[in-house]
Amino acid sequence: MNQALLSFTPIKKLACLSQLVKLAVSHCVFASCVFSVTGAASSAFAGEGDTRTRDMQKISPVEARDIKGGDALEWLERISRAGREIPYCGVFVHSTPENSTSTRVTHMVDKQGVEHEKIELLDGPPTEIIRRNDEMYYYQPEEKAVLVDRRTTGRFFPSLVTGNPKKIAENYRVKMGPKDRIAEYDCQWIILEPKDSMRYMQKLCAELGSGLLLRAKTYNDRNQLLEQFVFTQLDLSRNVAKQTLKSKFEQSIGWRRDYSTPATPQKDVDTGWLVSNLPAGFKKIMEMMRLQPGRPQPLAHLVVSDGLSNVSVFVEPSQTVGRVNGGGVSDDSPTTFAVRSVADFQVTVMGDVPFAAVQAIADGVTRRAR
Amino acid sequence: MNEKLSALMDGELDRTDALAAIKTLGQDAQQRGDWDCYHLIGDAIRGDTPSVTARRKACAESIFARLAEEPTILAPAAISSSAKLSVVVKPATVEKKTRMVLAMAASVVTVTAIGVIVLKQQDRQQDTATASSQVAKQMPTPSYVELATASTAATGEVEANKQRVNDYLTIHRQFANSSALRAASTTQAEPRQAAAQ
Repeated sequence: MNQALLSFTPIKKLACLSQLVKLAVSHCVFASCVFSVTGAASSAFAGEGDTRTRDMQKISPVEARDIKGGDALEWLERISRAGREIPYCGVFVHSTPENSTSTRVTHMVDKQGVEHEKIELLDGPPTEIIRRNDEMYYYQPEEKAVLVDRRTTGRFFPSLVTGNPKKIAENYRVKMGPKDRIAEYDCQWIILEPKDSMRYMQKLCAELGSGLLLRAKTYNDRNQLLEQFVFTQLDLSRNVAKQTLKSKFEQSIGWRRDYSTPATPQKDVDTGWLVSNLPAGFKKIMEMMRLQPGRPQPLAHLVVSDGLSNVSVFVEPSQTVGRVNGGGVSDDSPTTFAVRSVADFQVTVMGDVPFAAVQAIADGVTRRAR
Repeated sequence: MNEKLSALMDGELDRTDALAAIKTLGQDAQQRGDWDCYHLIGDAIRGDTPSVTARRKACAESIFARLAEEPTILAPAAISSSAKLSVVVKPATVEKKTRMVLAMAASVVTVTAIGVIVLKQQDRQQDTATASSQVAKQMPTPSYVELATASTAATGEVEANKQRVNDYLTIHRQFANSSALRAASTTQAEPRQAAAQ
């Protein structure tokens, strides 16, 4: 299709392009984004020697800023905003030293300002995740089940920067790195070196035009790569149709629905637990009682974050006799956890931070005075 | 002073050594006592009011007792013979020691490693092969190394803890910034009536 298109005269090319756009949209409706088609459209524009390729990408105020802006903090801000605001569709690979998986992500914000995201796992049993603002639906067709989470603060790649860049810079040295090219887009590396042992080093590469994160790498203190995300295919060139963001399993009847939260979740529920003496830069971003299928007791769940890394604090009545203390680290994952008894409760702190950080946070968990 | 232990507190051990040191810590009551002591010293230097547990109280008493006869307890000269041995191996150790005592202020970790939480690859578990565990296999959980050995915990309790940590991992990853996607599956969901939205 590429070959045929490029041999057309310019006038035919334009006519053909409108066809292609329609084709692309219709493909998005039924089968998510089709890269060969939009790729052809881009190369056709480039072939005409005009700048529309770049213009097409200017779809949000983020990009109106100075593209060459050298300030690393401003880059963090752009990464954060681009992940939330711009439409994109692509396939990325997540890898650890042990394993790698491919995922398709489609993202947009509709006219009402609602953020839509669809995540399709491309390896193994099919699974789809639909997120609308903080509501998340996990469709598992093999199990004919959907899990509904109404209180998620979770964000996926490429939305990894969630905090205020100035606050992040209090605990990381934020530096500009070299330029690079990933999935056909030019990008700028930003290096975040931790100032203490409470977090990992992060290297982020952001697309020059939009600021969207194209690659993210996490290193431990021995400079070993723990995990990375990287786009292998990406389309930033057009708006994403809203229909694309529905799950193909949405209409399925007779599926089991599991809810992870009570029917009327309240913001900032008091779980009766408090984390004091948090490591520098960490603050509580969420607190809730969580239902666990198959468990009678709800689980207290607090999330603290330093703007880049999240740490979960779980508290539930102790089911074991005596005190349990311990934890775990792994060479092939950034996730560590620490377990500690507080009175008759078991506190488990789990996060994508070094072991020292989960320990320090676990140490600060106390019952709130009533 | 125990060289390995202080290096651990100081964050100067690499992962392998740290894990070995923590394991030893879990098995050696004497070392745990030292660990508490070092932290108490750190707390005192920092001016924090230490949380006084029974063991720490004992530690404080022993410090007072020794202070009475040896006022230079906090000085580098008071390093024990085992530490002197490692001075030979690492010439910079004395300097490091001094820094270590001060750096303890930054380390507010008090872990008594008694229980066991081990998390292995999910596919090693003999779970019933439900679809959800298949999804979990597709995105294997990392294998965690054991930090401490249990002497008291019964096997059933260990298993229960394992399962619990697994469940937490699933929940956490839905929230975590980075590793979230591997957790897109949920496990252990039990059949329930569709609740009214």
